[in-house]
Amino acid sequence: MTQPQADAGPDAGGRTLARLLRSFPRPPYWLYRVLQIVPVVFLIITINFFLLRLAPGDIADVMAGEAGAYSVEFTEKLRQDFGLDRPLLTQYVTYVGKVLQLDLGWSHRNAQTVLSLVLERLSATAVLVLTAIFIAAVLGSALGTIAALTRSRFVDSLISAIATMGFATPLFWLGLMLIVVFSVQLQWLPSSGMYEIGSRATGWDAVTERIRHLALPVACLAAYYLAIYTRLMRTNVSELKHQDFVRTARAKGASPARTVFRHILPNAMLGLITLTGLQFGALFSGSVTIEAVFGWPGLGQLALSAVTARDYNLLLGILFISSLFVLLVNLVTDLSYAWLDPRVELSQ
Amino acid sequence: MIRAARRFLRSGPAAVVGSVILLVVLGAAIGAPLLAPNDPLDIVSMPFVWPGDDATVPLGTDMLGRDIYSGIVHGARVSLEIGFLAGIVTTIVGLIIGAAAGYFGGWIDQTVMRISELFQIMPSLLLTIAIVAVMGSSISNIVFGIAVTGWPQVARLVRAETFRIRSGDFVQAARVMGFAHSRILFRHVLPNVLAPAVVMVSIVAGSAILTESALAFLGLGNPNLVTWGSMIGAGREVLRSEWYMTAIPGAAIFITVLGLSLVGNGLNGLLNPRRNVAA
Repeated sequence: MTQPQADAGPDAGGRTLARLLRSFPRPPYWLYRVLQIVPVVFLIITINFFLLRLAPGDIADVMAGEAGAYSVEFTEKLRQDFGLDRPLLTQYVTYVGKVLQLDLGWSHRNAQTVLSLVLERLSATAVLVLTAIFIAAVLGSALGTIAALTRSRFVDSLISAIATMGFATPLFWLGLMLIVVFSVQLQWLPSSGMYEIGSRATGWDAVTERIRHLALPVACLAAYYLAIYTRLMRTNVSELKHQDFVRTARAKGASPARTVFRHILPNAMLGLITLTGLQFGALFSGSVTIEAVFGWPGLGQLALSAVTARDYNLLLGILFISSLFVLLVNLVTDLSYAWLDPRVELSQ
Repeated sequence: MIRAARRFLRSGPAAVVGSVILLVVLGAAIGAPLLAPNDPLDIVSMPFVWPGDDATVPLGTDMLGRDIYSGIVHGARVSLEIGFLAGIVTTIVGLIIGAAAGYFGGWIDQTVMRISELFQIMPSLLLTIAIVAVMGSSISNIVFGIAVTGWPQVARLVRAETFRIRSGDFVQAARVMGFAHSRILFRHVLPNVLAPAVVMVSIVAGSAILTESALAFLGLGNPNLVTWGSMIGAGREVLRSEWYMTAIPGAAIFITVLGLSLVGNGLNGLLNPRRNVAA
């Protein structure tokens, strides 16, 4: 079906420009992909900006009241800090400028810049989230592959039953129940924190101590994604199993193990990379409640303390930095996908 | 209609189990004052009565002697209310935006897709927490916070559906007859993408109930309401000894959300027989 074009035929100047542009080499995919994040960063900043304006009344009033120093001068100072006395557009431009310089403001409650507070906590959350997704990916691929290769009805229904139940379980509740079983009843694992209070463990002892503290929160967070990875891997492997190149490999005499590990798995893994990027934001959300349950000193805990203290600067700073983090992870997964599978570049 | 219902029930035991669960929860929510005459905030007995120890409080009491059974029954109201409101609001918003993006294509579609990607990147629970923290924790604000992060999921699905039917004969015919875009969109496109959207209501409602319980657990809910999430938050204080206070409301959430997703899967099989269940 042909539709009438809105811009009917480019004029001569446009045509010259188009020819000129074509004479340059095509920009590489990574450049194109990196440039794509610019508008997204702007949108994130814009959402943050308007979030502050959702507050009933004036944000300066709220913050002054909560900071415990409610004098007229202080409120005026806050208004000037936020630029509330200036037109909305000026406020917006100033805000964007500040955020782009990574000036996320000052946390009155903590007497520290928001950026340093957030960066301090980011590593704890990153450890939690990355370990969880790594374990979920490895175990999920293994289970999904086994399910696809055995083609067992029982394994299939077991996987979908676990997945359905996984989607219905409140993660924080699962965490609490794990504490009851493994920390209270069996007393195998610690229930809270990153290390023992006042711990002086060094070397190998310090490592095992960390791992013991990581075990429950990671298990909880990974359990949910395990189901997703298993499902996807099962679909991928059972589709690939019947592809021509797999049959060729078998026909030329490759052993079943070699067929699976060298021919099926590398291709099936590709889909997992995209999924990891897509799920990362959700993983961060999950870590908020998990951190609250296990007293893990990460961004989620910081966000909750910001809510209690009504420290909106800090709260929005956390939202911004964690969105940026997810954005970068997505960039890395997309680029590594393009590197592993050159066809992606051509289709862009 | 009756035949459709019969087909739904025959689509497997899962859908039937799901419907039964939902009916029970719905019954509890509607009949709460009759089924559990105790106010969930009233002190009715000794504190820390374990479930089954005292027939007047079948699910036991909490650290203040409040009836847990009452809390569960009355909590069903809040959960279902937020679940269904959020499910319907999110689906309607996603339906309109997704259908418009798919129908018009071009820059409208591009813009919508970029914005929906954005919401996939921003951690949704953090965004909802920020919205509720800034605006206050009334039910409508919680629903708003959930809808803001949830609509892209619906919009994507509807957009893909709309793309499929956009070049269909009946849309072409409507265009040839000179109908306005709005008329084609509302009279010809929307009715045809309604089926997948209906399934989304139950999926979004399930995740809305989970989000609400997380907010209440974190202490961001309405402090005057007894909800399943706030009961877990309270029970957590005595998790080491009286774990039933945490276990019971969590099981209520789990069963309700499970019921919703089972019904969603059943509806999906009924309304979209050609497609697989969306994860």
